[in-house]
Amino acid sequence: MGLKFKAFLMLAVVLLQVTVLSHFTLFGVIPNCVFVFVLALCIINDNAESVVFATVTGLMVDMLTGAQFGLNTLLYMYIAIGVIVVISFAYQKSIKIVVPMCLCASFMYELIFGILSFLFRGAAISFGVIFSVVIPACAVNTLVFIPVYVILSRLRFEKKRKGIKYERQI
Amino acid sequence: MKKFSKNFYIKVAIVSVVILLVMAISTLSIGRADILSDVTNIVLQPVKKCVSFVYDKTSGVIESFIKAGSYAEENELLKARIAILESDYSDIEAYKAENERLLALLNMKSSMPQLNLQGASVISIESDNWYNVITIDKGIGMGVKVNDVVITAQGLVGTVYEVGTTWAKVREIIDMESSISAVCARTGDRGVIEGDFNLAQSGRCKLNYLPKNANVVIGDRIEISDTGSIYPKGVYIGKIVEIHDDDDGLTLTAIVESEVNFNSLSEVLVGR
Repeated sequence: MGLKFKAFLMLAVVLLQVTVLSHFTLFGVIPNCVFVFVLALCIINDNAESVVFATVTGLMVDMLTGAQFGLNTLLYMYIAIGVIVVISFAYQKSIKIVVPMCLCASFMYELIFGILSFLFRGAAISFGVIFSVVIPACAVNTLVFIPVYVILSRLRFEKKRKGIKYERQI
Repeated sequence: MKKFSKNFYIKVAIVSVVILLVMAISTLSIGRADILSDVTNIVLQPVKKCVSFVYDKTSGVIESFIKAGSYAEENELLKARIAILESDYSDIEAYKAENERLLALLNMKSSMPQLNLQGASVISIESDNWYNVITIDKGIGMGVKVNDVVITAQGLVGTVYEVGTTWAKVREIIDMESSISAVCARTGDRGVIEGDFNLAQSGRCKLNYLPKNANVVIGDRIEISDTGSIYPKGVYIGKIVEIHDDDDGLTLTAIVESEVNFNSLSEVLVGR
């Protein structure tokens, strides 16, 4: 999967998220497909380029949504680093490994994002959102993550089979 | 196990500090945007516009696909609602028309204080190819008598020829058997209004026995005559639309067109 293709995918997913996907709700929450996409890419391509990619994606999300500027940028960057570090301990990237990782990453993202959003707005933190938003969002993001991860893995496998070298070693 | 280089973490730390600074500046600034945010927004404005354009162009279509299921249900509900509203509207139109008719009748009743008129509803129109007769819901019990006139705001409908306890049969002026003494309101020329089989379908009747020297012209108003008539005088019948010389050369015959729509009578006034 080339950088241009990834950039195109990123732009497409971000645009879809802010236009189409915001109309979909599952269990009362909107699935965060951008986060899921970034997470899947970071797991598949566990290198520094993915961290940069995640950071840029976070920046795009910040620019195109009403969130506090920089919040998504930082969160995407740190979660990408965390995921890549953790996945480096795994001996394989099977669904059994990556799904719990997605759950944890999604939980951390939603929780920190929620708390910081409250703080930046100067509002008192309501811990009820953990059950009403954070946990359902984790579940929904994970449900979306599975097919996205499978598709992106297949794409990567196909490219590798054709002998295209595109990964850059750190 | 894969690890990032030390250099990478330094870069991450620098980027983090920069972003935190931007966040701090954007958080602390109140009202006027800081230079960094301003520049960023100016630079990204075309991108945002582009995204907004795509969103505006696609959201409607996409939303219609997303909500296609609910649209079908909503469509059914709206159809049912439209049917109810159409029914209500039809009722309102009917009430409005009835109100106008009744108001016209009321005005007419007020304008003819010499007549003891009362309202009646037409319960059947028995006009066929041969007879032009209606039945009203007032009879002997309500003071209706034979030879009472039946009128609407548009003019004379006919005369009562048969009375029951709660009903009365009315022979329309266009019926072949109808015969009423009439006068031209403008000239005072007298004649007899009689129904004609060939004219009945067009709501017309004949004004026979007009004197040869009568000055009647097309458009003259014809009313019930005040002399030699068993009917109350002055009730409007219709207007002259044609004038012919009779075969005997002694009299004229005028064709009178009534303004009453004999096919859609519903409320009338009856009395004498």
